[in-house]
Amino acid sequence: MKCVVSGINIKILARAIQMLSKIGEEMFVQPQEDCLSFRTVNSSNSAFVDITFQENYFSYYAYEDLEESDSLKCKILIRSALAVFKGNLDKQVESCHIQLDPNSEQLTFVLKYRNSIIKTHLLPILDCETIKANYKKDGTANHLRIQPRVMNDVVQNFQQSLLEITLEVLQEKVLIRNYIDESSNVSNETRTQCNFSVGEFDEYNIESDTIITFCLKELRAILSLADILSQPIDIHFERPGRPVVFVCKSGSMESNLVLATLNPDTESASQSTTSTRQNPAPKKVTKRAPRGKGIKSLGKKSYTNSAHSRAMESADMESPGRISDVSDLPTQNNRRKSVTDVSKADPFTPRSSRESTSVLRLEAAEHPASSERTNLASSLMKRKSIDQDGDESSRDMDNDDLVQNSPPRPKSKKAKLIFQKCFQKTFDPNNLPGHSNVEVEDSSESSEND
Amino acid sequence: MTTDYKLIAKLGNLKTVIQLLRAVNFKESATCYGSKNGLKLTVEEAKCMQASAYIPIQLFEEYTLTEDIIFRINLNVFVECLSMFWSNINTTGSTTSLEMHYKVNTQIIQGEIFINKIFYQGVGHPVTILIEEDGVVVDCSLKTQEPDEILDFDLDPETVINKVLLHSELLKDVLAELDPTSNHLELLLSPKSPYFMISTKGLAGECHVQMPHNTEMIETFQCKKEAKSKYLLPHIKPAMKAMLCSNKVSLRTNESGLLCFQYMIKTDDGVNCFIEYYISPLINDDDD
Repeated sequence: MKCVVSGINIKILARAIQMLSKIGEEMFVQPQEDCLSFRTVNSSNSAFVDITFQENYFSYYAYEDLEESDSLKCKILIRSALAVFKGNLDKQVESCHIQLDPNSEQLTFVLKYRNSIIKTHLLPILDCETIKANYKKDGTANHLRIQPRVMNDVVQNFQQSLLEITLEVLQEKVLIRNYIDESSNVSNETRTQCNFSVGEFDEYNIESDTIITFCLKELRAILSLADILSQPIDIHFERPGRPVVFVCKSGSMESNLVLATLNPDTESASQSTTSTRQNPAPKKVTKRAPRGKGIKSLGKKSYTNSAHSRAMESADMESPGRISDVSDLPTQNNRRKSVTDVSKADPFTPRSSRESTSVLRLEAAEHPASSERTNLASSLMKRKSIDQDGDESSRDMDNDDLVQNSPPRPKSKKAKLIFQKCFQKTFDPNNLPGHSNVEVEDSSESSEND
Repeated sequence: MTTDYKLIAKLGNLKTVIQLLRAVNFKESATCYGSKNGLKLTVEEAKCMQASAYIPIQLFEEYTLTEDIIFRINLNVFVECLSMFWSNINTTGSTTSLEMHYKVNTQIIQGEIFINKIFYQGVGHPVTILIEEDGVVVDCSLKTQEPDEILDFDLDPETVINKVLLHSELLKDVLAELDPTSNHLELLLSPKSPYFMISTKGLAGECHVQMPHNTEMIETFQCKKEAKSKYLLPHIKPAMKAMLCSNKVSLRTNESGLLCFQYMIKTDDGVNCFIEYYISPLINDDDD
């Protein structure tokens, strides 16, 4: 097999290999009669990528030996392929020749530069084998198409270290949130959820409401590739436990990313958590400004949040305002969660949700100090508030994992509220002991005092 | 009394001096040699690699030397002292005057530096660096040591078999992208194809970079016969540092494979400075 890539296509090839390198360690090169495929699979076999370049992507493509087609396949280290395209000489490269001879020990890349430098890379072939994945991408129950930029904006809201995200599709909207394994013993988890409407998608075919959970790292990889190609991403999936397929097509190139999704039936340990998460809190329009304020007041966050959510409840009965739950209930493993509800009405949802996320991260970072102090008080308060708020929340949902309202604000001992009493209806200055004493006489009679 | 100093030097172009010194600062100690042409700092590694930076007298505003001097100095500290007010030098230009003495006594009267009485009482005196900026004076005193014997990598023009003079631009990217997992670098110079080739062999496979021999980036390409020698990549790496600030580089090899990089660095004032690297080849290179 011999082929020549030239011009801008070299950059695409370089990006494709970079994308593969984010997923696997080894790359399978599979020449076919009219196309060349690069494939990789990650170490846990949960992600598979196939990037196929059609014949017309190349300025020259010769498959040559049809009889020995079996020998024309190889496995190389992605790292060695990456080395071929490293550096910023991309724009100076005129052409790239790729050559794979039958039963050869090396895969040859020849890069010709404009300043007449010729680089020859001989990549050692590890094995003569190929890989195939069985998956279905046409005719799946659910099919979405979205511009990578929109998706990128959403994905950026999640922490870089986040492993998995959950995608929930409903008939009228899509929710994406970070997946928190409830069996893990991590405290201070931030919960982020982004909500986007059908309008954000180029295509939206949903047979049934579905919730799938998959790895984020691989999604980021294909998103960045799609972003560079500025081509939409197609998402095909059926149900939890079945693979989700991301497809990005650009002219003569097609990249497929197949990701395993979390199977609720086999993951018994986290089944309960998964199922509880499948009934999320109803998404409502919440006001961002008061939330930010509540978050800033650190030590008494739980109380202020509660105060705000109450304020919102009274202002708008439609929004129960479940913002964050900062309680440290023993039953919840001292884990703290906060759910961001992002308005679906706002067309610039991704951007605004990013703001809210950063605020929430700040909150998560600052929380541990404050949680110690509020721990006792809030867990006591919490028990009461669950009783109160529990009825309220159970109108909307029937599970207990959800984010509760924060406990009501107790009578504060803070200085700024000392005079609050004076404004209560029951306040009668005449009841105060010593109210008739005159501490300072009128200024005209300055000589006599009590 | 001023005749007692062996060396008084006032630096004019600090930026270039520091650039030159940093380019050879891959080892801690350097041997400084002062002559009427300027200063030369030489750094050696394991007796198989040597780098020298030449600071010509044109880079000094004032340079007085009574006799040739030689001493060993801690180059790290030396560069650090010189670049102490580096940020100010970059922004405000020449408000800093920097003076360097070899065994000096100084008196400071009313914020001005008066250098008088230069005594040279033999080896063992410190190098004093005075940095004055807006009346603030830093006085650094660096201990000197007796110099080690410097290897003489003599590359007699008659023994040179291959010589390439090229613009550094061409080699910069090539050397910067060498496979870091490779142990050594192989240089091939030949009067016939492939003329000029650099190869590495690392974990990521082999890589051959074939350089042109007749483009305008190459000024001279003289090859008498095919020569192929290997050099340790860690020895080549420091030589790349100088590549970044240089304009032109010349490569010369002799019969035994000794490689000499000579960098020409043109200052803003048009003064040419030079840095030289001698790298001896790997002889028993059977193992990869």
